[in-house]
Amino acid sequence: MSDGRIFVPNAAVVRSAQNFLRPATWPLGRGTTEVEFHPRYCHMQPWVLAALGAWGIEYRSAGGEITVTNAERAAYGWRFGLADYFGIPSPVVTQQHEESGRFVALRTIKTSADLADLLASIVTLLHLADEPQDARAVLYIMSEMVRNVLEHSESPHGAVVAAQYYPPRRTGRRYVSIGVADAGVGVRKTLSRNYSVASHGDALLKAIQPGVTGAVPGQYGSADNAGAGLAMTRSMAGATQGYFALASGSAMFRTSLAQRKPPDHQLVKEIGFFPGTIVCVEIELREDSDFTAVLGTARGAFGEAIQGSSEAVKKVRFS
Amino acid sequence: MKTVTIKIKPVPGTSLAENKDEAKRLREDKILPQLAAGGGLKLDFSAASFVTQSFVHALISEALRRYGEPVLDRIDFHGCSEDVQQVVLTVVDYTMQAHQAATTPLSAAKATTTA
Repeated sequence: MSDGRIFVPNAAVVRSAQNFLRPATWPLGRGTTEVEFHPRYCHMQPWVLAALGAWGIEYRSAGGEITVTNAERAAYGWRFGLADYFGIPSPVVTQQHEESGRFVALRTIKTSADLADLLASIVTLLHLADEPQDARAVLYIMSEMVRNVLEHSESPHGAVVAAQYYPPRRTGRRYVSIGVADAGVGVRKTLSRNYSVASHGDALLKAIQPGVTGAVPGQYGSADNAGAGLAMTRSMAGATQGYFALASGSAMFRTSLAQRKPPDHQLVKEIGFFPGTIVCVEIELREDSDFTAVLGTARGAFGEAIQGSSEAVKKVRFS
Repeated sequence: MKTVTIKIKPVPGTSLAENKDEAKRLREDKILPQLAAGGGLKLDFSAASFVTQSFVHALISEALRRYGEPVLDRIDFHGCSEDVQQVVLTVVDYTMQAHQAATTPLSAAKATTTA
């Protein structure tokens, strides 16, 4: 008998994230939870692995036990090191470093030093040395998302991260997908210290607004926190036509890639309660990728959200 | 006006400056004391070809908040790539807007809006 059940469908991807997140139950505390992989084949994006990993550490540290069904169908997960997070021997033989793989396996980040090590190795692991513009976007986003976890999640286990380069052969898209998750207090609890948030969905909508931070009340926070990281990251993903998704508690927000974008409140969906926060960011890679232009577009979107521009920028001196 | 140069260091093995702990240390130990003493600053970004918004925020937003727009006359952003410039401008932009909103009396703000 299980206390929780997590079914991983054959395509656990951000486009159809609800198929994975809605029916899942993520218990914490003593008990046994069954993680069942799809009986035929399982493709999991990095955010799914990060979520499973972050929950796995937290659950086991509280005395929980994880059992796995259809383990042989989750070779991709074991290759990323998921077995370590589940506290089980790896069900399939994996190579620690495979030359042809372009991925960052699951990794736990608890400190600035851990983050520095990760950032120093990402370009090599994703083989992005020849694509410096795209590498910049990936490093930038990884830093911002991990620091959010370290500063706000209150999780003793820190952030769990993973990333994967996707070649164009399947979807025609060539992109890097980044997953960052934690099993901390979640977005709603963080923001409710300073804002009135009626639901987990409201908390997500607030968190992606520029200038909202759980650190202190007031616009653009404190000397240390602006509350701009998620808004900038969302804008950067959008500027490359990639998805941005944020899930916490019983809600998930995911951007739309449609030409005519629905309003944000229509992009919030209900999910099974996740005890913490999951972020998925996709950066679309192009021959003519231009990180400066991506930053410029993100700055423009940011400017629209904060309604205008300050005259002070004309006084900034660059030498 | 005496000017102090502060070199911004990237994460080893990358050209990204993102360590907010380091930014905070620079702000508290060097930037704010120098500005309080009436001096100038040369923030040298030549070793970092890109930076995160959080890093730049931790570095300069408090100075902008304390001293307002005039402090920009005392800060020289040196050796900035286009990417660094974009992020610096973003942080200056939203910080000064928030500063302006906080220091403008409500009646004046209303008059500006309706003008």
